Amino acid sequence: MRSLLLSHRGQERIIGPLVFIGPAVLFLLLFIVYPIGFSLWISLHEFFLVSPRPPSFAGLENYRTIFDDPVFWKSVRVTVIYTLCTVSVSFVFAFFVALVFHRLRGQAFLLSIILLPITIPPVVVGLMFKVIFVKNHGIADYLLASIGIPAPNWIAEPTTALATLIGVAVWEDFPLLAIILMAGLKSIPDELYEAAALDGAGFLAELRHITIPVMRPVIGAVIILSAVNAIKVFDIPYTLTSGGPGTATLTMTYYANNVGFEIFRLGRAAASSIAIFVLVILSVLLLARVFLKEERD
Amino acid sequence: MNQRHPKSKAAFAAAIGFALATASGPVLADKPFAGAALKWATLAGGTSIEELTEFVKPWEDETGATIEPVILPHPGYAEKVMLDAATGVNPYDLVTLNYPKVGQFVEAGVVLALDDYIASDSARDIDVDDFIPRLREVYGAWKGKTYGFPLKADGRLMIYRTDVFEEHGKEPAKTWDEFLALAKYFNGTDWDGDGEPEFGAAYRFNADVIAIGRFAEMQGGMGGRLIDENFAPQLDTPESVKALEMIVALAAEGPPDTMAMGFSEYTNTFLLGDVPQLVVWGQVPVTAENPEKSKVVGNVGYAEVPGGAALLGGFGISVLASTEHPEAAYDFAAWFTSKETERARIAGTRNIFDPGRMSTYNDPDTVAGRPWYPILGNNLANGVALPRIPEADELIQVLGQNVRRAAAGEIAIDAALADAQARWEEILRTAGRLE
Repeated sequence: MRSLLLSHRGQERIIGPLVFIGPAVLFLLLFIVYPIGFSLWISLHEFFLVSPRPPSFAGLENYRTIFDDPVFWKSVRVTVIYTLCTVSVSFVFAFFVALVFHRLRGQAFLLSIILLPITIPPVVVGLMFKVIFVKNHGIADYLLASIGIPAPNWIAEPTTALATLIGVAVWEDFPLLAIILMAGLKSIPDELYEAAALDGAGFLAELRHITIPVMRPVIGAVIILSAVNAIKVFDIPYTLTSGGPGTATLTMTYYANNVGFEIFRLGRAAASSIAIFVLVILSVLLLARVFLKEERD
Repeated sequence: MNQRHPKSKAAFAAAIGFALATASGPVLADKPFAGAALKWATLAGGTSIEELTEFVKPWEDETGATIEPVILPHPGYAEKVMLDAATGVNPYDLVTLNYPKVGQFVEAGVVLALDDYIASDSARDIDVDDFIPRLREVYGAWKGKTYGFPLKADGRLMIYRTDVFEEHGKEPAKTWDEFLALAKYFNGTDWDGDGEPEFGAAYRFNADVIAIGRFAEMQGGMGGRLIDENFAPQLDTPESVKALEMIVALAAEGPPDTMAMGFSEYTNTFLLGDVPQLVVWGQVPVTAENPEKSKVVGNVGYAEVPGGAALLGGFGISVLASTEHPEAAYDFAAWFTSKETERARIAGTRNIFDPGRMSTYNDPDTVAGRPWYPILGNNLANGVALPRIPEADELIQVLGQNVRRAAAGEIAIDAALADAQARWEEILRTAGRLE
């Protein structure tokens, strides 16, 4: 009787947790593992959507094709430069804004203003800035001309086009980062700053010895979030620069889109998507190691 | 281009009524397709959904069927229709088909052959021999069968400032070398006396298909061609090198944002008086002569594209194989592209798809208000076409991308063409078209 009871309790120990984690596991399998697995399967097949022939196994041929394509490697370079610049500039700007705003009165009003860029869909952001940067007839040229500064060729030269794209992305990204960082700043106990003040610490010392160390996990989360978004960027270059001039602003997702939905080579598009997936995973692992290590330990 | 003039609505309605009343061919039974509801995937082509819906009403009244035009945005347009057709989601009955997609749609079994309908005595007479033969071939023919009719004929011509050319004693260019020489002559000078220096020409490279089109036009004008009759690419020939050199040279004689220009920015360079010569699509002259949109009205001359190898753009109308009403869909395609409907489409100041029939371009009344039509008609009859085989998209992307890269200074001209040649050969070999 006693052993039966234990057995029943043992079953409960197994079934109970399964009931609770089951839906989450099912969700993960259906909406994360399956799509990634299916993408991997497609990437190993010759899948020409407009061909009447069914997909056929191609091994690593799709990967060979994209790795042999100099435009793919250009898109990797563009994506890496774009990500590094967008994340670092957005973060610095957002951290500055968060530091200033969280000590000010009327935060709600200021927040509602800096939040405006987030409320605009990225496609509209791209189109809006395209109008702003129209050479000679755009607002940007007009404003610079009014103060006597010659306007650069915003989106029509390779170097300026990528810089312009990064600037627009920063404009759109930094408010969200600033809000998360502000929330992090508010979670730091005042006692820490009071103790530091008693010890005669100034603003920079507080920043270095209290704010940044305590905020480290939040900073890590913000940077990871921003980096993942930057690696996946598609809509702003699509509408603002069409990936050009040449391939100066062709990102990896834009490349995958062109291969998949312009020439219908879904196998190659899936291989490109897997490459993006790998880049995202590597970036997250690296950033998590740098920023979240202490927390994990 | 959307030319809407409310005052001309009555005349427009009368023109459609007249067109319907005088439509040739056998008299159809009363409401032969009553109850059929057709969906037509199309692009705007210079009109709005309201105008198109209004325009097709006479056909609906005659046949009892209804047609719902679904205007899709141009980028990714055919891709969306193909995906919808391949997946069975949101199926259409008719499609306005960009001609480089013809091989793809036919080989995938997505569109119907129309020859049996054309030959049938009971179907609407379409007078296929009146279509410009080149358009009939490029827009709808595949392996000896007909899969579509010319719907929106996009041809090219050169427009130039007659006042400026006259003042400077210049003639419109007949070759690309002359075009470049004129561009260099005018660029950076105040040729219209407004106190500001202007530019010599403008060019457009903001998409792969645009870039390959410019290249094909120049290469053709210099005696080259993209591909021969045995599917051997011709991209590393002296004509190809010269064409790409010309593109790079012309980009330097245009406005600073040449590399990023879209259609509107490009045409506006001429309409706003910033360049004295421009190679444009056939609908641009309508805008150039419209005082609400152009600063150069009355000073616009028309000429052949330099080199005489104008690029063909354009669309046909095809019936999708998945339709449940193939007879009704064919009848609509035949009605919409008939002589009478075609003239009604461009009646007055309207422009619902540019015409593709010889009789329209030869009609004195039509030509009287459109002095550029003889040039356009000639260019349509002899135009240079982009590839139409199922691999066309990939060929266009590879060459277009390399032209853009060369124009942006990312890659040397020889290297760009050698890469394109090698990759075209690989694509065509893999497809089994090239030994």
